[in-house]
Amino acid sequence: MKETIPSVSQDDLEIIKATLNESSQAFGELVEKYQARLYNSIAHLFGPRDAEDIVQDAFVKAFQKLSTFRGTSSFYTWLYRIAFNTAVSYQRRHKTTTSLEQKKEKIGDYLPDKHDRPDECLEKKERAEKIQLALHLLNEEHQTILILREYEEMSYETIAEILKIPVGTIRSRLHRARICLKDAINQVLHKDFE
Amino acid sequence: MDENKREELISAYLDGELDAAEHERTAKWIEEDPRAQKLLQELQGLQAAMRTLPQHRLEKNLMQPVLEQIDAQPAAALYSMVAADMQSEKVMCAMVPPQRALSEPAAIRHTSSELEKPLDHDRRRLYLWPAVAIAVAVLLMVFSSRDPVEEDRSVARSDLGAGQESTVVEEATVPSPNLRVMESTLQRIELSPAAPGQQRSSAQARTGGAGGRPFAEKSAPVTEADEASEFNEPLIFADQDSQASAPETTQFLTTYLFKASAEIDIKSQLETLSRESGEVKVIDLGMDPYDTSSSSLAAAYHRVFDLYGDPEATYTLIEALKNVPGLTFSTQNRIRSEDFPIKSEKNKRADTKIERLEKNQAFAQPVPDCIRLIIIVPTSRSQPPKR
Repeated sequence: MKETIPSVSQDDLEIIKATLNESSQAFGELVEKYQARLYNSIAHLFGPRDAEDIVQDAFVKAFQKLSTFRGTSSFYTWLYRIAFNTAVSYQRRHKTTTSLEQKKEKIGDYLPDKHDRPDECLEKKERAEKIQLALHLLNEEHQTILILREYEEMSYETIAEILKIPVGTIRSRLHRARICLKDAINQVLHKDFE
Repeated sequence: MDENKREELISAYLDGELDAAEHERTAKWIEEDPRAQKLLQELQGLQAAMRTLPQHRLEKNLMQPVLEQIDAQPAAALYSMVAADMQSEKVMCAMVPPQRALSEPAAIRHTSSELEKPLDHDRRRLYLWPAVAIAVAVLLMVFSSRDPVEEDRSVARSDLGAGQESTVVEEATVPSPNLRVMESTLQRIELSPAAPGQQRSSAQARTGGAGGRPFAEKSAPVTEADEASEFNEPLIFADQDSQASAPETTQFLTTYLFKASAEIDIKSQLETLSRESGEVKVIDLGMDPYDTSSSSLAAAYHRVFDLYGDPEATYTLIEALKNVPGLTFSTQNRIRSEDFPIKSEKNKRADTKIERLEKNQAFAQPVPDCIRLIIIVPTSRSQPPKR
């Protein structure tokens, strides 16, 4: 069933309140809480080389704009939009075109499940890498929407809020992205057999 | 319904993003159609696969660097940047003490239902007049009894091209402004870079930091303006409707001065950036010869452009311009209509041709909420640019 944009959690609200009333130190708790998740997602989309700078910038901008945060979405959604915009302008400024090397670099580390046997672990790792490779065969629009939906597990409404596009467009774009990913995975697997 | 649209329903079904009627219809279709079942299974497989993607691990804790960067920010950068139109009273630019601006976030001040309510006129008035009265009282206290030290400081500020403190005054909307205040706060363009400290104070006061984001400050009740600000909306420069509907009030124009190399085609550069952004319009206001006989600059002319559209996108475009090879950002300025006719003997040094041009241009016909770019482009004296 349809979800609505989650509103800000009580914990985050308390930290925001403390930040605004007392000091910047309280903001550190929000950094601590969201940095890993935000970094992982931004690194998938824009590559790990710049992700750290982008995430750091995003937190600083979020602090500066904190008084405009109205709490009608979760803090993370709000922060994510800032990070996303920061990354887009960063890319535009640096006119980066993603090279094959950078695409390879975008592939993260597979984190093995401690219950897996070594052979299972290797198999899963290879599969995850192939999916990652297939993902990077897609255009950026499709990559972005897939990461936001499947990896970040955001609702259509939240994605629409971040990308500033209508919810209806999310539905069709996401479906097209999935079909493209399916084709790309087939392409990657087929290449392996050649 | 075409096949694609039907398949989209299965995607949305998988995501739990259908309304009750669509959900029921789609569930029935999946139950009856093996192709739909197959597609659902494939999509479920993809979803599961995507969730096993490798992770990027952050190798250092960003808390300390972020906090250090925040602490290093100038106070001006922490100011809340919002503008509001309150009936015919133009809410204009005045800096807000950071603690005040940051003390009550909208999320905390209001319940979510309150956030949706428009403010009624009476409530706005309730906040407005006490704040205006306080602002006037403070200004009277400050400027009616200036001591000699303060006088000296004022002159020094003028020489620096308006420092931070004076900016607080210059950007406040004050009825019948004191001429002396106006003189001391006359804004100017600094073509020659000041000493690092001087440059910083002036730039920070206006931009929230060197090369920082342009912003609209406000003079009247902080709470009102904060309430008018939109969640997640980019920071705005001034209220478009109020500028258009209240021409008798103070007009502000943010200008950016760039120096270009002779090779660069600034117009096509701007058009490309504007096309990429899709949200910024560029108006070419043409060019003027620039008499450089009295300055150290080579022969040059100005190209003047107005940028308007989505503030966030405009800001991004300006930032992108700063990184264009062959284009050097010189200074950002903010001009208001009251400053225009004032000439000060004290400020001759700053009263350059550039400044006059800026002011003449500024009130030609600025597009509401636009940002004006003035590009100094070198040219040959024997070949003046065609208009």
